[in-house]
Amino acid sequence: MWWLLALAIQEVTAQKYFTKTGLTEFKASVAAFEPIEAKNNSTSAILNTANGQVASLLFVKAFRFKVALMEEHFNENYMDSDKYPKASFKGKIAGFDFQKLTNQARVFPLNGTLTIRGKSKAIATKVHIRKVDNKVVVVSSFWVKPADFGIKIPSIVRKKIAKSIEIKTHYELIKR
Amino acid sequence: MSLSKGSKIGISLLIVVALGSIIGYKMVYKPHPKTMDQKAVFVGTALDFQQQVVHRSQKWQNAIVSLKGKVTNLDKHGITLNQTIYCQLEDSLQVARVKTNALLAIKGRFIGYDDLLEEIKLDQCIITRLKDEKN
Repeated sequence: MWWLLALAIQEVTAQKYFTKTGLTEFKASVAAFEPIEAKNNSTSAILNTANGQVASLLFVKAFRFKVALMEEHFNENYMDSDKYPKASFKGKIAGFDFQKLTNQARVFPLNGTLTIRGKSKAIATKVHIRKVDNKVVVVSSFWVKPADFGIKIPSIVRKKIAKSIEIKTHYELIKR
Repeated sequence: MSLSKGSKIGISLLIVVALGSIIGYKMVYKPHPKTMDQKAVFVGTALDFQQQVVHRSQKWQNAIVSLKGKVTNLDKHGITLNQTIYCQLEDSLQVARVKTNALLAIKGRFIGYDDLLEEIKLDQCIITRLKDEKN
């Protein structure tokens, strides 16, 4: 009888935290050239606090550049965002324990799969997690190469675009 | 005052180059299009648009839409219409004007169907009309 109750309690505490307006940004700038960077502040993300599973999704067209023309080129020439409108990530935070979260950031390993332009790549990085009031703040960063996702950089601009691109994420999740 | 042929050519060249760089600069650094200035390609109720997206989400990619609906939820950055359409506002301060259950018209850009949270997502939204349920 007791184990049934225990099971029921566990089921209830299997909580999900989420956001619809997470910030994902990338930097592909090379020193001495015009900065190539953009922000996407409408990223969706979900964290299952029972097992540390995470999933996030963004629309490529929602990336904002300072220069509108750069945004056009990004969508049309590099990301082909009419054909591949979404980019997503699915993964797991190793050793995640919701009870141990405090307002001091803890670092956990994060492993998962990033999918851009229909191509997937394994990502291994670290994630900083802290709990502030009723929010779970998840911050991470990792590096990718355009070639991993079949993004071709024409030789004429190759010097102006970094070979490795840094992707930074900042998600403030609330209880679903 | 008469100028030599050489300086006439020189001056006209200078003007052409100056004009060219101004036009070039304007083209490269053109501003982002504003939601307010763009024409909506879909005008209708939130419910109608929902139907459209279910069948042909690809067709409406990046389209500016104007939707009427009921506010079912609010958060820091946006409004949920009819439980299924999340509208992220251009100016998040505008959320304060709205209450749950209010009827409103919104103009924004359809960015896609979010299959993670199972909702339709718009960004750069502006509130074009607002009316409380009581009225």
